[in-house]
Amino acid sequence: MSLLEVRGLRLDLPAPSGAIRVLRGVDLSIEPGGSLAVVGESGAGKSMLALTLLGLQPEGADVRGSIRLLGRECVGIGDRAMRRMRGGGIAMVFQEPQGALNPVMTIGRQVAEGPRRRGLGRGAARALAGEALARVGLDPARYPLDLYPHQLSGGQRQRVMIALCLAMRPKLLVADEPTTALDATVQAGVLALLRDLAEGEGMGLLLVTHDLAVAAAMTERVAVLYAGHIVETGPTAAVFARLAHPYTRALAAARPGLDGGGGVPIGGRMPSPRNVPPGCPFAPRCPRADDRCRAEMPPLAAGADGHAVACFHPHGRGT
Amino acid sequence: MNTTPALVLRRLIGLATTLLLAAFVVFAVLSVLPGDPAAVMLGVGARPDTLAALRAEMGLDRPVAVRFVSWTGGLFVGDFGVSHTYGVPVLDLVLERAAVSLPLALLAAGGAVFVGVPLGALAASQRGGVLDTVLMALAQVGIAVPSFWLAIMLSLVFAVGLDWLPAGGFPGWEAGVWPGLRALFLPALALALPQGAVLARVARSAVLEALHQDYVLTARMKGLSKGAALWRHALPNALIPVATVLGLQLAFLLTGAIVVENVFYLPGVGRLLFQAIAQRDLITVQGIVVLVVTAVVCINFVVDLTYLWLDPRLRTRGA
Amino acid sequence: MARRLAFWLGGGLTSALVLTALLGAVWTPYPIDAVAVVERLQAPSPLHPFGTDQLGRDMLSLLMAGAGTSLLVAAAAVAAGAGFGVPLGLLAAFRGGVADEAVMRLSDLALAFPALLTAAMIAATYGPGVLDAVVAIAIFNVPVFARLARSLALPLTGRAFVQAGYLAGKDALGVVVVHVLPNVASLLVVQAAIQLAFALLAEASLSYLGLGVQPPGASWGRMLGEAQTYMRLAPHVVLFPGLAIVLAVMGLNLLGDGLRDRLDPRLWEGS
Repeated sequence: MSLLEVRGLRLDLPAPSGAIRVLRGVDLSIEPGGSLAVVGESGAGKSMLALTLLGLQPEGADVRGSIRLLGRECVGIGDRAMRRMRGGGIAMVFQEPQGALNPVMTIGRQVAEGPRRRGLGRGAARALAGEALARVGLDPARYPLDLYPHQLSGGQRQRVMIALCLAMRPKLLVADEPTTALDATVQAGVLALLRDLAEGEGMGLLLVTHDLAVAAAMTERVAVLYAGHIVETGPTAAVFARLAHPYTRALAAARPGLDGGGGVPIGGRMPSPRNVPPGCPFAPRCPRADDRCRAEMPPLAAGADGHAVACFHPHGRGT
Repeated sequence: MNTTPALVLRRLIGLATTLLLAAFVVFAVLSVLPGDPAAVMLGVGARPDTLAALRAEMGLDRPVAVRFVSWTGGLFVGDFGVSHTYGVPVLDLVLERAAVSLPLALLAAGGAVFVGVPLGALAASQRGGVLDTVLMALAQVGIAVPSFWLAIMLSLVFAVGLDWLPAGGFPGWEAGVWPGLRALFLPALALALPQGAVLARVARSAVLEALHQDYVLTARMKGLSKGAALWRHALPNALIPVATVLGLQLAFLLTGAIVVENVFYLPGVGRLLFQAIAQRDLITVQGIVVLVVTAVVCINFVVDLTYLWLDPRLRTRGA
Repeated sequence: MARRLAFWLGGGLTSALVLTALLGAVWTPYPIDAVAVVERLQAPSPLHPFGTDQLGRDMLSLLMAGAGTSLLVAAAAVAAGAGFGVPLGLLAAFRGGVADEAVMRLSDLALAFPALLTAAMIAATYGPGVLDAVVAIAIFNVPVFARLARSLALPLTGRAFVQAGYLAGKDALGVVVVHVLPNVASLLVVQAAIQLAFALLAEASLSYLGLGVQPPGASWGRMLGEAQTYMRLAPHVVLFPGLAIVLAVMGLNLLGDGLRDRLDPRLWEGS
């Protein structure tokens, strides 16, 4: 049984000018203890995907398709049932540790709150919170449980956020751009911590990032999200051996240092989710696009190595 | 670093300065500007020897500076002078009347909080819904209603018309707590409803602001219900702006009580003030004004301390 | 949508208030000093749409005349409050240091004196009068405007266009008048509308207590104070002046809220 199995996930946000189609049929899966990076530009729908997995999409959003977590269907089960999945089943680290921690509650209480909700006594929950904080490198001897978030640095706050998830012993941890808001010097440390914890605890990890290099270093599998579609996915080694989708290539080229590129920005803009062109959403920006690309969405076709690409003209296959 | 004791000390010094300046202003307006308070009290046509006797009795034959120092010095030991119409120390008079005014103001403040804050939070949680619209329309009317007019209308309906509650007068606390509370119920309601309307509006916008913060999402990620996230995380943050407004309101309620006492013929500080004005009993007016101003300043001080308690970010902060 | 409606309702009520006040200043259906004891406490009728008061005077005429008094007192108090408060606040923002500290201390001091106490002190010294009310309400308004002007101007002190003004050789006053005031004026106007509503309420309370408008001047608050004794006999004598206050205050509040929504783009989202 997969830890997470997402099939044909669609998400529409209501808007006065017509629904905004954020996710348009996303398929994903993570095996128990496995890890997956979802990569894409801002606006691709990554964060919304992460929130939807927890059932925390904005009020009034229309979700269709299937999300099976630990074998249980999560779409359309209502908030009351979904609440039982959150925390122990699936937990999430948010992008901004500044806003994600309650400024008027001590870090100890915030970390202990999850276990307390699961019926643990006050003392036991507090002890568990201390352990969790120690494991993320905030030893209660130096960082007492009654500190408030504003007394910590950005990187330390993100560690608290990770401890907060850890204390609930989730089977799947979602991390949404966990280092984007942090100083460059502490980013590597937080990422290493996430990877070590996921491996050590046997937690599944779903990492949302805009950075292909982070994905390459962190997870077993990657999925590239573009305008609400998965356009390329597969085992990390196979995907990076041959970046096949023109968008993935452009993304790699846009990042200095990877793929020998010097940081070439991708021309054009992602189509607005309000106004979806037919065919491949990348076609308007793609040097390889032809009439077929503009008329018809290419299916996600998998090769023998599990590397799948949604492109009529992928790189590295006889071209 | 500013620490809590240093902050409290700073505020205390500010409080003392304000009080001293206030005492000076009150003294200047009531003892120096009239020229001769004794002449004011006796009115035109007083006999010169009576005037001289009163001046000597009031100590008006001494230089202004000496009078100010001796009066201010008296304030510190609770000596506010002796009322000329009642022949009783002013402090005793005021304290006796405060047994009506203070409970009235506190009942009104409590009522405003218990009506305003939950209704504001409720409106915020149903934002844009029918209940929200109705509550906010009511609040809009509520803040426009003068409490003394509401007092008149309430006594017309519930005392004169339905005869459920007394239309005026006060039996005294020695007649028992219940008759006393019955006499204060309508006046307190008249004071509480408009202030409750103000609080409801403030609470609504503060809760809305807090609900948009990521920590509410974090709380729900832990498995808390929407209601629990609102109650445990959004509300404690929203209370900070609510406390600001409540502090201003308490000062307002104190003087509001003075006005409403007049509608219900309650023997409070307000009635005393107007009798003293009518009888030109300046030393009593002076004492009442100083005491009420002191109460207002002290309330603001307590509100400042409440901030420190509600918002840990203020307790330690870079200098 | 509801916000739009509220804004227009506020504008409508406020316009009605101002027009009534203007009309009441030059014409009323009956003279407001026409005492006719035989016609006292009459219920509303075609002759007297809002009835007559305890002295037989036409309530509609009194309400029309009272609109002018209330508005005048409130406007004078708010204008005085803004007139002293805004320059003080700008001074505090641009001079900083001792000036800032002094202005903030003084505003703490002024806030410690609710309008009712100030009015009571002045009345005890000089006797009650309409000027007591104006001064008392103005004193409470000064710190409100001083603090607002200071907080609005403070972020501007370092901004490029203000610095450019200094470089262009303007003195501090010139910079404030030309560059700063226009930037903070709109929010000050919004605050003025809201303060006007508070001032109307305060004037009504003071006049009700006999500390404000004196006879023969007409005032909604004073009408209530004098009619209260007769409310059992004729409820309309306390009903209509109160409703007039509620409508006037609500109109100004709605107008202020509406103006603020229009000026403050942060409040637009989701409306």
